[in-house]
Amino acid sequence: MAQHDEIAKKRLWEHFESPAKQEHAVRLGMWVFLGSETLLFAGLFGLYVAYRSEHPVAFHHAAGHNNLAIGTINTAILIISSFTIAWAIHVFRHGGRRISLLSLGATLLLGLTFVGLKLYEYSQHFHHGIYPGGYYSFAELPSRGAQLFFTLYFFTTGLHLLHMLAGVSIVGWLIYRLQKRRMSPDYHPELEMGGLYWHLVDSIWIFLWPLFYLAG
Amino acid sequence: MTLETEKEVSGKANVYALIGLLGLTAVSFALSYASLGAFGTVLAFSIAGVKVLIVAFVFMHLLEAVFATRIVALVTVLFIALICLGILADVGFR
Repeated sequence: MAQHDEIAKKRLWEHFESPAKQEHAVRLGMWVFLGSETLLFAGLFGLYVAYRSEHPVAFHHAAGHNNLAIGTINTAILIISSFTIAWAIHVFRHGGRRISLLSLGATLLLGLTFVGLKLYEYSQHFHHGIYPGGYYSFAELPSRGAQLFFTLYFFTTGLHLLHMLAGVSIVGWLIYRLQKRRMSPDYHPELEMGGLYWHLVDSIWIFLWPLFYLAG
Repeated sequence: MTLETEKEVSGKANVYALIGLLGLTAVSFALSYASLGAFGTVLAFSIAGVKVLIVAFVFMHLLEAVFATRIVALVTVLFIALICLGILADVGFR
């Protein structure tokens, strides 16, 4: 416990009264950052609503062409990974370093599986001539509405994929820090903030799934 | 680490949240095969909204967060609603 307290004291900036208040400030700042990230996606969601109201039938058919099985498996993967990272934080708060490491490892594997499935799905799209913007050449759905749907699909899921890659890198870094004992059960803001970021990426996908897969 | 005013989310709550989220995903998946028309889309988004609330309150510890953090989350939701309503109004009154 004394060693844990030492880590908290060592990492306390002088303008904060205590590690708890410092972590509270970090958490508040993280929520503001997550809010701005959400607004970035909100603009794309709004664009989807606008285009869909103009091309309802084309959007319905285009969404029906997406692979619902892969989309659903990826949804389940992200939900389970959200649980594993939440579990890693929960057990580490109570001193369970080894189980926390295992949970983070599971989160990393699930995240990489999501990325792998998404890239496989993109390769399938490219095989059919489904590209974003002017490169779109899918003969089965030649309408302007379908082209707009898939352009938005690539933009939105691509932006989400970039966030996933950032999340996977952060989880890898957290595993490294936990293994090197750079965090303590009393003070581990990077683990808590990394978890918040991962949950944001999961939350965005929870909305992308009905937009691009269930709407078909 | 939690402030004195905060309560910690329990391990049980995390497990129940996981079960709830997977259950709601299964419901959404099953409903996608029912012919519900526009109502199906509204239902799918409502379920997604409930799922995000579970993630935010349990996994993201909004349940144990102090007032200032909750306000940031609330303002974010209001801004998203503002963006979407603005776009909907633009499309609807063209």
